[in-house]
Amino acid sequence: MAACLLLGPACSGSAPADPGTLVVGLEANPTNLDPRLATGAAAVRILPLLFNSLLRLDPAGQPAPELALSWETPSPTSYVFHLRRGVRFHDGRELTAADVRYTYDWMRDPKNHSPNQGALAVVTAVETPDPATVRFVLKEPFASFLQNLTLGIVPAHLGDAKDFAEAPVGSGPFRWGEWKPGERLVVLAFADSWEGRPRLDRVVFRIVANETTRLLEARRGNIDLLWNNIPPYAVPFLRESRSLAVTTRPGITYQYLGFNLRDRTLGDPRVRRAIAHAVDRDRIIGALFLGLARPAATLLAPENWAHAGEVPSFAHDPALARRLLDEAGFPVRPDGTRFALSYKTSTERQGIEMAELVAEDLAAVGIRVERRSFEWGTFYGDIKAGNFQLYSLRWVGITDPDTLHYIFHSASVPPAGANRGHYANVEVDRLLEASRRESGPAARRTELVDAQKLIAADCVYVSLWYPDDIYALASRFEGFEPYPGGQYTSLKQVRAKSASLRAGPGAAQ
Amino acid sequence: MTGIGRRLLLLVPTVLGVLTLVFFLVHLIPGDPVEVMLGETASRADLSQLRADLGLDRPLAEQYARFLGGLAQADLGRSFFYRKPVLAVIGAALPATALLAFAALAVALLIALPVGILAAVRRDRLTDRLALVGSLVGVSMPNFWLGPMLIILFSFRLGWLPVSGREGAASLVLPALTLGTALAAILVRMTRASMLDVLGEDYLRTARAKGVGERTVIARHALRNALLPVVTIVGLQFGALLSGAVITENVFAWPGVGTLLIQAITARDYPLVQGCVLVISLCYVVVNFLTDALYTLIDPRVRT
Repeated sequence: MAACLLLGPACSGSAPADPGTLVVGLEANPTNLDPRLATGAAAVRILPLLFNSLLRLDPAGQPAPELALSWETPSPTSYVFHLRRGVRFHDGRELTAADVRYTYDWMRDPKNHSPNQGALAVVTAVETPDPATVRFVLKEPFASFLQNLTLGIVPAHLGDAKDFAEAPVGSGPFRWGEWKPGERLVVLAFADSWEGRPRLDRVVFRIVANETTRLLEARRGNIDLLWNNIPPYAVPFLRESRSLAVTTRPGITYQYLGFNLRDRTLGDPRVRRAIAHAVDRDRIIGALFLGLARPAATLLAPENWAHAGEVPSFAHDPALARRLLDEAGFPVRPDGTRFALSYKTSTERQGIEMAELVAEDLAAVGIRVERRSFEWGTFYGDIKAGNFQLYSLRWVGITDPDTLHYIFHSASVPPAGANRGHYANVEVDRLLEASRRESGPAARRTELVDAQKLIAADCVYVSLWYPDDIYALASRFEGFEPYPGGQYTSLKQVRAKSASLRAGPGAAQ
Repeated sequence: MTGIGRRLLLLVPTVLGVLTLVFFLVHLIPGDPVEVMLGETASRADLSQLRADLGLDRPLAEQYARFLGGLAQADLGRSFFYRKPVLAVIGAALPATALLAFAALAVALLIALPVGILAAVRRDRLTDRLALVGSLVGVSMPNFWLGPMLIILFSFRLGWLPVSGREGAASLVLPALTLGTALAAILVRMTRASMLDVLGEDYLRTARAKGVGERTVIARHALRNALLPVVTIVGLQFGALLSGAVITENVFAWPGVGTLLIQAITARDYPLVQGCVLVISLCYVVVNFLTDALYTLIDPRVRT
């Protein structure tokens, strides 16, 4: 050890960069890489590299053909998929309709406790008329059903093996290499992929939980890709490096302030609107995100086909906020405040800093905010149990507008959904239900837009902003494309730049 | 019964007490592993089904009895999230933590013994003052700060050592230094104080009077007696070393039990939390036992 200290660089063991290997820095350990059981974001984002699904979400978040070449809906409760031929699993066996049925039946079987079981509750049967055709029979029409078909297909002949999750076999562009839990996961190019062999030979996912360490590793050139885990404050630091290209672009993650509508104070829409008018979004975006976020007015980002453009968007107006609070019967008391609210956050640093800034804004209109931060499990448990007044959270990678039903329908109170504030509006319920039965996107869009307008007017949430997507890729690579859910799907097309290009200076975009 | 045998027997209730405490504490903290496992879309029926399958619907006392029953057969249950036996999950992470802890201990001893002895021998001189100030600084620096500082200096600026991870001996240097510094600082003071006590003893004067060289006096006669309290402190501080390892592992992406424990708590993976705590408390208890045993080797008077 002492010798190492003296010898210095000789011991540091940093090998020259191998053009075929790309190292990704992960913030969390993917605990389970069986697509039927995986829950954590870390695993779900890696799975598209190892497994194919009937459909995949394209970079815009829309379902696109993958294993299914085409599909039709003979009736609103029946979906028929025609499979691509000649797709092989990593062990060489051909993927057929039987594998698709096996995978879905396995997840639907209550004894397997798949986290996808709930989402598949609408399916009554999976049929395979021939090896290249799969038919799903639904209980009732469900316009967003296609979103459920992006789950990885597992080989029926291996899926029941006890150690399947240890070394899973799929049909994706990369195959299993090595896994040291908590340390690293290595996937290798699958030469016989129906999409063609990936340009990279291997992708190494290194688990570096500590943010500072992760950023330093990227600056040192030991991590080639950071995606989903770069805080805005670190962008200037990473951009100092010539060997990294940092890219920011508008994101669709939606950050909001949630209200408990059963609370006596917050049950009054005037109070909620006052709070919305009191928050100075531009100030917080500037201070916390260094400008790397867009103000939001509704859950669905402008990129979404069902985004409602003209919804009430509560501009920063402290005077109006004070007037609304006066009207609601909350005059300023002798101590200078009107009332106090508790505001819960997790222990995540950005959430805590945001709460401080929001509390300042609310104090300016006479609302005293007691900020309380909790360890994630406790915080999330409280939110789901309705045990809060104000809280802030975000919705990540929402591309399916049916999420509105999941969050704002009166029947979606937890555990059925995520209507944690107990919002209930008969007209919103009606519109969201109707949108599920609609088969044409145009009619569906009208209903979804109307619902978003009502939700915004009722001020169920204070819509805050959509933080930008930020990723850093070593300048010697090209071809990475960020997916809205944070998936690493596009690594299959990433490649090392040719030598002549690599000689040029690393451009920061 | 011999002293060692009695101490060995005392280990059982100690570990059992720790486990009982941990069992009830992890079950009492808010948060539900079943909801984390099944995701947000799970129905009430799915949730209660899984709860039943995991035995989480049973009264806490019954769950506790089952837990003890499993323990008697060396079965710590299955991790909810890895869906593997807890022992296998921990077994994979334990060598990394053990390596880190012992390397840190080695760093601490390599720094503390020479510095402590030197400070005692040169009492009130510059060396002594520097050692005391140094140990004050060392004990005041928290791991989560010292770790990144060492990375910035040795890895980022100088490029001598890897930033993080576990590849080769070089990657052990900074984590061991980070974890060992506080212990070294405590041991410097302990060694110094202990040496000062011994240096005034009559038998050393006798040894010197007999013409024994000063080096031999220090190394053979003084140090052996001065080591006794130092060994005690090492044993007692081993627990601090293990808890420090949780933070150090996080800073250096070191894949050990500490990292696992944090994950397990976040996910409310009860069996895994219990397993990690069992292993950590066992280490602590065993090290303290070994300390006691070592005592008897160093000081024959304890054997009676």
